[in-house]
Amino acid sequence: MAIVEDEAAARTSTARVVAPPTARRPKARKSFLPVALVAPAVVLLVLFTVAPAIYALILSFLQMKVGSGLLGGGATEVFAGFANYVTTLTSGEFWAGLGRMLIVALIGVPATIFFATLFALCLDAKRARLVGITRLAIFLPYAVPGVVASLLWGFMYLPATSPIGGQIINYFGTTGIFFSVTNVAVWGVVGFNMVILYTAVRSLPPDLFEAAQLDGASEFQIAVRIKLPLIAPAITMVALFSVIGALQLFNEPTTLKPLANAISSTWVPLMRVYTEAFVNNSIYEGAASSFILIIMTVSATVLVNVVGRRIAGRETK
Amino acid sequence: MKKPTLKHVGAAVGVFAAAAMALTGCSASNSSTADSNQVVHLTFTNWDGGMQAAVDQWNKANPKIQITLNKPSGTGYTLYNKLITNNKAGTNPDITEVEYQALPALISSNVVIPLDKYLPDLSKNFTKSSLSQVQFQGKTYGVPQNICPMVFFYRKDVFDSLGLTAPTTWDEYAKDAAIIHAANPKQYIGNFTSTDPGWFAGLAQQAGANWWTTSGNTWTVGINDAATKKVADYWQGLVTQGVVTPEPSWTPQWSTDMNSGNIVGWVGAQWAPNQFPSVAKDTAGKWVAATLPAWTAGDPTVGIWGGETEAVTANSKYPAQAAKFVNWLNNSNEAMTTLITQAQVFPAAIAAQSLPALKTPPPFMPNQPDYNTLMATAAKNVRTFQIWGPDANVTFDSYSNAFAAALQNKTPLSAALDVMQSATVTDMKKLGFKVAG
Amino acid sequence: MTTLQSRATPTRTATRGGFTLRGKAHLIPTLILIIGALYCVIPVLWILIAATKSNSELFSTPPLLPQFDGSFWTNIHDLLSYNNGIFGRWALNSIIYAIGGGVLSTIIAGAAGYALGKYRFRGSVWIFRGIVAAVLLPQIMLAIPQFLLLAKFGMTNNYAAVLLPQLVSPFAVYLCKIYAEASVPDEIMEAARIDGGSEFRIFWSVGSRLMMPALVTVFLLQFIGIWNNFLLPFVMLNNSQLYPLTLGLYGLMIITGGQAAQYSIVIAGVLLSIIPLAILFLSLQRYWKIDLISGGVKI
Repeated sequence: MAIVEDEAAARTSTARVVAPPTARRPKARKSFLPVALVAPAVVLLVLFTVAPAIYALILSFLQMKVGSGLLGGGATEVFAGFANYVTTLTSGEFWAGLGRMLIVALIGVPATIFFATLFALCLDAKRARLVGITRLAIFLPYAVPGVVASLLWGFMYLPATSPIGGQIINYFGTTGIFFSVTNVAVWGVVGFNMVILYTAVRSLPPDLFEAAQLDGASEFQIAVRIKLPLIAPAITMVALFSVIGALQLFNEPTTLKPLANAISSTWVPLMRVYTEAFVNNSIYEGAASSFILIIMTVSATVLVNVVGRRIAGRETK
Repeated sequence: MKKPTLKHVGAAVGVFAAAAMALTGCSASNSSTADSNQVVHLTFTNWDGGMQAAVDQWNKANPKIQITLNKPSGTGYTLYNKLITNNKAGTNPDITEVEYQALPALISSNVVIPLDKYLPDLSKNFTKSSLSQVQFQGKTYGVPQNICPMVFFYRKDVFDSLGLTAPTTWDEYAKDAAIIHAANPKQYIGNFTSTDPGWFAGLAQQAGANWWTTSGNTWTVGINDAATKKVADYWQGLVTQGVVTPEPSWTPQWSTDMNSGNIVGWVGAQWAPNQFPSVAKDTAGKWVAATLPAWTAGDPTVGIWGGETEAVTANSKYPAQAAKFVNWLNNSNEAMTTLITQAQVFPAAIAAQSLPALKTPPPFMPNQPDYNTLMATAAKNVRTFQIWGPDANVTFDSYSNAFAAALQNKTPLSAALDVMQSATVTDMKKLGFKVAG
Repeated sequence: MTTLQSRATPTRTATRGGFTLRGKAHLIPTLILIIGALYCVIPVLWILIAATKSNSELFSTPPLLPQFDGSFWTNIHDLLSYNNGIFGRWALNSIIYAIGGGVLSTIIAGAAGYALGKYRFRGSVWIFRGIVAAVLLPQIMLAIPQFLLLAKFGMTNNYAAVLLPQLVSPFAVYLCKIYAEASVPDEIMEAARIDGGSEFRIFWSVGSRLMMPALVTVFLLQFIGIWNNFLLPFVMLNNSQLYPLTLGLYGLMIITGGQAAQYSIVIAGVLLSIIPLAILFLSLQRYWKIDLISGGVKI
């Protein structure tokens, strides 16, 4: 879906990665090799992704019913129809959680793209210094597990231990919490995205800028007018990853939750899934919520894809 | 998940230990298919600090039944839900720690089994109140380990400097709260925490609440009853006045405040001295425990916060041997002595309540030699709910969310109780329990 | 600006006389990078500083002021001796999971990517589409069904339970497919065929070599992904002897009976667990070629 062939975009990408047109595909002799090569991946995918997904789909149509007696020993699974979907869709908290997730996405996705692009272009700037060390530094947070990152930022935010002004700024206020959560997420991924964009910039053929330089264009002009449009496909991909990442927002608010009153156990949709499955012991509702989320994720991906293609198409003209 | 779950307090027996061992040993050989020469290996999930010492002690004395202690990655309901999920898979440990409020849920999911045929008569060494936490409909599902009455801890140095003594009623507590905060605006008598549902439940128990009652097979849920609302409104007043801080417990912030003297009182429970060293190490010796403030002067009733039993899972292949260990752990003086010294447990077993180990106060409270005498008195005056609901996990989760939101948005705490009530009732009905009203 | 620059690189500026005279415009990129680096590094730096403090100093001394009273070694010692040295076991487990899972999933993804990128066979298009769709499934949703299914075969609570579900990464297959298409020229394959090479030989001696940069990148991505994974081991494992670092540290972080969160130990653990990843990336930086992803995404 995200990977639709598009001649215009393909042309803008680096020369060495242009896909060969289908017609020139080698007419391979009859060989079992490709099937044998792809088999392990397919088998594992079926066993550990497709089968669980189907199982989850089945679970989303079931519910638990306890037996008779005060404590209802011997609970059984019974068919629930669309009850779990109805519960999720009619739950105000689900939609509120979705709203909160969108707020985080609306701050976080543009921030990630902006800073990743900015850093990538700065790294590529002719006279930039300290490139090696700053690149590593910005990438470093990606190596910190999400569970740990939120613990760190918890210490950063709480007034008692904050080295970044938590005594004055309320990082866990009703509005502040959105920035606090987003910040942890952006901090974790900006370096990874920067490296993607940086390598994209680096692989642009240098002769593209030389003419502009001779014409007296400033470094800034070259970066914005020439480099930026040329890495548009990579930026679109970063945007796509960021949107998927935002829709799967979970680690950061979950780990920050016990530190503050501002985050509930259903703060974003995936926390709701987790709470249903792991706290309320209702994997059934959790599965239903998941499928609703997947439908939304697919829609969002298609949307980004379409918008991205339009932008990319316009800029190459 | 990350709730500071309960601690220990121990239990155990003494006088009847030998008889008990003989009894269980006997039933074990009858009901087990294990070869008498074969070594039985059992796994035991428990997250308590000093448990390894007790397990080592058992393994040394019982070469034929070897226990492996396993610390879970999540405590409280994280663990219980894992147990419920794993039960279907058959991968549960033989023995598990269960906090009292979660036992009905585990029984209802068939995770744990009745132990009557393996255990001696517990009524000789445990009070009715203790047994009511592990016995349901005439079946016994575990041996109670400890009693965790709620207690008020305060910084004696700070109270003294303001000419205050420990509050005996909640009215006095409120007055002291105002005095302390007025004297130093950075200081609070305590915090109202949204992360400890068990804490609030204990306060409600003291006030006379009964969140769950049963009649026949029908449940009545009363989380927003008058007694609980009284408690909520009382704390609402203190939070609104700003004399109690609404910050959650168990955060780095809270530790700092406890350690630096910004928070000078803690409505806690018996196990607190075991937590203090990691929460507020620098204040060792400065805290003193007192009876929890009462609603009516002279009323000694208190609620409980925490407390656990050991239970045997349906997945265990050796329930008799497992039950034998459970009985030894929580119903013998030797094990209880270890748990008292290693984990500052206050035993539920009556005989163990007079063990010499209890004569020494917990290391954190060197200035209060009669600490355990105070606990013994409080333990006698414990009032609990008639029964914990089979979905107390939903109730507890709902507490955390609804109270956190109320504190954050400054909406009434009593309305949060209505949210808890409806979440609990909805869930019970959905699961198919008979609920009145 | 000049001051900031010279503070950051005192020795360099001194030797590059012309540099500071070139005007502000050229300093801006460097300045932006320094600010960005500080933003990213301060929390990590904080770990390093916090690791020098005891639990109570953590709550009583200024956050960015290290303590030199030997607490650092006490923390490391406490961490390594905690629970009979289980931290070492966790570290070993993380290495087993990350290297084992990383290598195997890279081989599997490389093979599948090559087949999908360079051949067209019955169902290849649909297989590829299915793989792309799988990228969108959130792990949280799959974890429990994965557990329940494995549990039916008694396969939970062991190394395989954590490794198997991570052996195939749809994203890695996708990456390899794109890269194989781009970097293994048809002409070379044709030439090899004319020379009488078997399809397997072409894959083994031509395809896999040309794809090596992609495979290294995929390995690194998988390594980090598995190293940082928390939820899957959390669901699959009961036995603390099998925990990876994330799960073990998480267990220390939450408050458990008898001991509130052992922050000083956790922080020492975090520090020790970041170091191998930092070294890995320092040493493999030049192999890190993510641009092959972006070049290949044709949106």
